[in-house]
Amino acid sequence: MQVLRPTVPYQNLHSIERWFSVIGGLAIAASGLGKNPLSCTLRMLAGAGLVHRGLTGQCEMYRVLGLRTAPSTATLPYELGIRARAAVTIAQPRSEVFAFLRQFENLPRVMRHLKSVEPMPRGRSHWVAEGPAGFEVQWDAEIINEIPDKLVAWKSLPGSDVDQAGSLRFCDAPGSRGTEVRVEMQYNPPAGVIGAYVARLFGREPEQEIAADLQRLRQFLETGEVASTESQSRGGSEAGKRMRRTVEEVIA
Amino acid sequence: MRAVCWYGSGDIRVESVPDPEILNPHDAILRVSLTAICGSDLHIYNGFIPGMQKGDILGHEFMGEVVEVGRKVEKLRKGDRVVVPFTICCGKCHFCSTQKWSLCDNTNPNAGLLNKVYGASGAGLFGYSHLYGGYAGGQSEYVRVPFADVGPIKVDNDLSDEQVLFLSDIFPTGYMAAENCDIKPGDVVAVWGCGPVGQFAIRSAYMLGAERVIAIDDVPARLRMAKDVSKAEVVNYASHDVLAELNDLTAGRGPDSCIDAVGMEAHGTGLEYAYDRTKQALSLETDRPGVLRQAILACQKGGTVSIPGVYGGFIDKVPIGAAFAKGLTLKMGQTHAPRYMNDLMQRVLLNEIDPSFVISHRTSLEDASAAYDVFNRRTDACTKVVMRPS
Repeated sequence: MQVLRPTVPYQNLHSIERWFSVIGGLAIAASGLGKNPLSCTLRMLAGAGLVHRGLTGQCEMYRVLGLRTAPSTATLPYELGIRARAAVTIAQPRSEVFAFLRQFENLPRVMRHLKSVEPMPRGRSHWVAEGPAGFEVQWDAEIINEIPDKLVAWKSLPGSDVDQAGSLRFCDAPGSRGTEVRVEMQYNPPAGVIGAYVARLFGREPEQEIAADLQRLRQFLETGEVASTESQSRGGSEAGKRMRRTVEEVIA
Repeated sequence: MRAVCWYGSGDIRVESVPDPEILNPHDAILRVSLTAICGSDLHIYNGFIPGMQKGDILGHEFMGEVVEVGRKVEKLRKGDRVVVPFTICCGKCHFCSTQKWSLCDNTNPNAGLLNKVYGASGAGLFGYSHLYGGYAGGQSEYVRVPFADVGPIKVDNDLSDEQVLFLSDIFPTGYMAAENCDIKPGDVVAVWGCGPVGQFAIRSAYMLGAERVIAIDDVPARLRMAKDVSKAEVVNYASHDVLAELNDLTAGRGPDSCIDAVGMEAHGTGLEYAYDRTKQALSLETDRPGVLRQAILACQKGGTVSIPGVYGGFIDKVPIGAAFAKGLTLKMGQTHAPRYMNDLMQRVLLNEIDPSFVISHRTSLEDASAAYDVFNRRTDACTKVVMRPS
């Protein structure tokens, strides 16, 4: 996982927040008048900082944390958010691998945290996934580039819970090993960079999850089933509990 | 059903658990007729295998009768008598297609865990921790066997359970260890560890043309078996300097190849052993490499060190300089059991070997806890325990 931070300054503050920043900055600076010299200087400096932040609309702290309150005009999370990539080699012909993945409704079979993908008109689709801490995350996506058997790229549409864009690239593996699939994704986690690190603490490392999903994809395409030990017999008080989730049930 | 469950280091309980069910279309359910405790189960028993959870059902050496098959199982039918390799193999991936069965790409549902630790994951294994998939093992009355058409082989001859059970792991493991040595006529092979895998390695080395086999251990009953039954020359490391003995027995050449059939819990003598025990106790190294060090130091120039013994983590002070200077080849890994099972069953049918010779204890599944204890302490001349579900 790679944390992206803008390299060129840009406005990341909402206009209301900018006004608060200017007014609050002036108030803090004014409160310094008549205090002892040290306190007066500190208050003047802090106030000036806030006024500057408000006038320019750029907050350094937000930039570092990967946050923004300014409304985004671009739907692609350019130069902001998290980038993750993973790859797998699948012993199946490229056209078959492409056909399976291009049919987005297939993806919940192999992607653990994806609940459903519903096709919509004009190359769009509605996605529902399980986010961190069990929250449901939804977005609409549209395909922005497609070269049959080689590439599919998508981005989320305005109004999504998570702004994101990504691509799947396909090429023949050397030595008749099948197909190489490479996934690249970029997204803005709801709680910024901190959210991404917290999710990582709870074991949700995006690159590892994508890699695990790709391995399930390989299992399914090579063998026709996804390896599972969920709901197996085991000893102890949990023995009666069964969390059965087979491929067929997921498909059904 | 009744099953042998792991609850912690030295804590094995036989419990009533739900019967296994078909989870995937290539699954079969077996009624277990005979199962065994493997030396590698003792690594779990002693708490050296990470990724175990309380209640996990143990056992990766088992055979039995098919009682239920998934809708995509084609070769097996209800009533078939089968022996099951300990590695779970999909039969379709690159590694299965090239006979590297234990490296199967598709059978470990928890591959992500091993990706993190090892960079990649091999096949899922029965009853061998959640790192290897968390599959329930076969020390139980019934067991779920995934990809039932791929690994298991039918036994439709009149060989007894005891004669074919060890095709599941230790016989192919000993055989592959010897095969990895690339034995040429006149070769001398040294085998560390006279447990069951060591015994099969000795026998296999002779089958593959070794002139002499030298076996090393300190348990009298095992040395006796190596000498009297497997026809090896033996060295007791407790009373003899192994390197000096091997040097003498080979007139200064060293063994052409060395087999480490011991692995991560090697015992030894003196300061070096105390060093490894201490480091392992302090978690400064995970595995004790005493045997591996000796094997590398003893091996003849240009020879092969073959490692069927299990290693799991990190080892210290391994003389890689000696291995380099002598141009050694190191070969290791989980056994590609399905590669050998049919051929080895033919050898049993032709009376070249009766694998049941390693069995010292026959007991009921209900006595598993005591059986683990005896096998672990190597008391009562214990070399191999087989258990029959009642």
